[in-house]
Amino acid sequence: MKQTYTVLLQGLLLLIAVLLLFVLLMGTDWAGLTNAEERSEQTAQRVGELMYDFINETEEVATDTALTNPVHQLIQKLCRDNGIDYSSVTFHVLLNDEVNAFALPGRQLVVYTGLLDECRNESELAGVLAHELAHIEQDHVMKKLAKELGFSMLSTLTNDGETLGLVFETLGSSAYDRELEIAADMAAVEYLEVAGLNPRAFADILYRIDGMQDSSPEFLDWISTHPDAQSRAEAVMDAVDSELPIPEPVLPSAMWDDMKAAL
Amino acid sequence: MAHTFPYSPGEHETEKASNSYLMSLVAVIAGLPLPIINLLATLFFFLANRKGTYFVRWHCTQALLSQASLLFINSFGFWWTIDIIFGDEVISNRYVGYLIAAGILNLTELIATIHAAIQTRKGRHIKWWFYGTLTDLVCRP
Ligand SMILES: [Zn+2]
Repeated sequence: MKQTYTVLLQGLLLLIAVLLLFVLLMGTDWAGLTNAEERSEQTAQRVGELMYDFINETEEVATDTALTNPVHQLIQKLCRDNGIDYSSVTFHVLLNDEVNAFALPGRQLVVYTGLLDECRNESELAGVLAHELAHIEQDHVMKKLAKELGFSMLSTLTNDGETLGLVFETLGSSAYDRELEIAADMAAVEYLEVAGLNPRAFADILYRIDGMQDSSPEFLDWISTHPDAQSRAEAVMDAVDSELPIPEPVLPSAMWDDMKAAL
Repeated sequence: MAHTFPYSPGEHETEKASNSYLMSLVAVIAGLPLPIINLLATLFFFLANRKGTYFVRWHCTQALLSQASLLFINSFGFWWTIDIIFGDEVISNRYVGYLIAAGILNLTELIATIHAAIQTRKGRHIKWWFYGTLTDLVCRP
C-alpha cells in the first residue's frame, strides 16, 4: 500500500516536471518565429486589400440593397451569435450566374448572385456562408494560397492585375484539402445551430449541388471547389442533432422575397 | 542511484540485464523515424526474458516502462512533423518548443540508459526515480 502511494506521488511529480518543461519550451519564441507569423498576418492583410480593389475594378459588384441585405443580415447573425468579430468581415455580392461563394484573404467573402438564385431558403444560403466563414475563422485561406502559389510570391505581391487575377482564380476555382472542407462543414453546422438557422438546409443544398453536377455546367464552380458533396451532405446530417426542431425564419420574409425579385 | 537487490546477481544475469538497456538504446535510435519500433523491440526483448531470473526481469521491465512513456512523446512529435511536411501545419514556436523538450527527454533517457547498462553489467542494481518504484510494484520475485 505504501509502495503504491510512493509510485503515484513520484509519477505525479514526474508528470508535473515534464509538463512544465513542455509548457516552458513551447511558449518560448524560437529564433523570431513569431515575427514570421506576424509577417504572414500582415501579408494576408495586404493581399486582402489588393484583392478588394481588384474586385471593385474588374467584377460587377451588386449595389442593389435588395441583393446585399439578406447576405449582410445572415453574415451578421452568424458572426454575432458565434462570437466572430463581425466588423472585420467584408463581403462582396458579385453579379455572376455561376453558383459560387468563396473566401478571400483579409477576412473577405465573395458571393455570386447565381448562388442567391439557387438557394431555396435563407438557411441554405446561410449554410454556404457559414461554411465560408469557417474557412476564414480557421485560417484556411492563406494556407491554401501559400500552398498553391507559394508564400514568397504572396509576400511580394503588388498591384498587378494578372497576378491578382491568379489569386482570385485560385480561390474561386480550386479545392481546399478534404480535411479542411470537413472541418469547415462541421463548424458551419455549429454556427447555424447557434444562430437559430436550420443546418439540415445546408445538407439539402449540398445534395442538390451534387445532383446538378452533370446537367448544368454553370453550376460547376462551387462543385469543383467542393467535390464529393453527397458524402459531405451525409456527414452534415450526421452532425445535426436529430432532436433539433426546425427553427423560425431569421430574416423578415419580405427581405428574402425582395432579393428573389431583384435577381 | 545504486540500491541493494534482494540477492547478488550472477555473471550471466548482469549481462542479460545490461543488454536490456542496450536493446532499448538501439531501439531508440532505430525507432526515431517510427517511434513504435522502439516499443516493439523492447517489448520483444521483455517477452524473450519473461522466464529469466528476477534480476533480468526487473531490469527488462524498468527499460520497457521508461521506453513506453517516451513512445507517446515521440509519436506525437512524429505525426506533428508528418503533418508539417505533407499536411497544412506550419512550423511554429510551439512545434520547435515541443521538439526541443522531446529532445531533452530523449537525451536524458539516453544518458540514464547508458549509465544503467554499465552499472547493471557490473552487478549494481540501478533503480530510477518513479520507474524503479513502479517496477518494484509490477515485477515480483
Ligand atoms: Zn469550402
